[in-house]
Amino acid sequence: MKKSNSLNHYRLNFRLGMFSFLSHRITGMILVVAGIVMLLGLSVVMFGAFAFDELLITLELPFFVFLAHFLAIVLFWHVLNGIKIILIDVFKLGRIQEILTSLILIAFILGIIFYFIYVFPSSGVA
Amino acid sequence: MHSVISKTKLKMIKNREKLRWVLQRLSALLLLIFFAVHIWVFYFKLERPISLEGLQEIFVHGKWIIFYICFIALMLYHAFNGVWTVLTDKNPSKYYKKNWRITLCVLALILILISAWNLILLGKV
Repeated sequence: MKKSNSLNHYRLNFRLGMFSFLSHRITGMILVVAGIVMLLGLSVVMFGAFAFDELLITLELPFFVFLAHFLAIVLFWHVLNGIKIILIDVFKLGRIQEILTSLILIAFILGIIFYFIYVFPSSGVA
Repeated sequence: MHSVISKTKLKMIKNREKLRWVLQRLSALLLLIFFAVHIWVFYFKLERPISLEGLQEIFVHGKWIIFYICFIALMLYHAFNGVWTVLTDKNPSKYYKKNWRITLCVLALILILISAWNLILLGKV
């Protein structure tokens, strides 16, 4: 029998649960990279007040504002998915995990709509 | 004798994995609380647009520096624990695991130290 690789395994088993599992890992990795960049970026403060002010001005550029919104959305999905995982682990809800994933998908869409109505316009991009 | 040692070692590894699993969930819940406070600070306490003076007003207080150092340390623990889970998903060799464990621990320690130093500086510049 031909041994299937990881990508093939994910492709062949791509259901709601697999989507949830993969998206949690992908969003997690994005957040790890972004978090490290943010923590290192803060080091500009070592070069004095002027350099830090320049950093704050740079962060107001549309590209960085867009990036911040993207990260907020990624974080929101990661948090919702994380809450689902904890609920499944603590209350042993493995049997209804597909329903829970559907629920968090709905909560995510509603949250994004709320975000784009109330938070996005006040950020200076729109 | 050898089998008893192996069994004990296996049990220890299993317990360590279990502890790591529990701590990952616990850190996630704690991060939610820390993140809620962070949102409150950045959206309601801090004046907009964000300026150095505004940040200084917050980081001049030691309690906020301690809060953010704890927040960053917890965040790094949760993040690197997740990275470790992804890296060791297919049960690689001991050598590979050891190297990654050292790399992640050192990286986390460096990032915590740099962040702590930056936060202290932020209250002083």
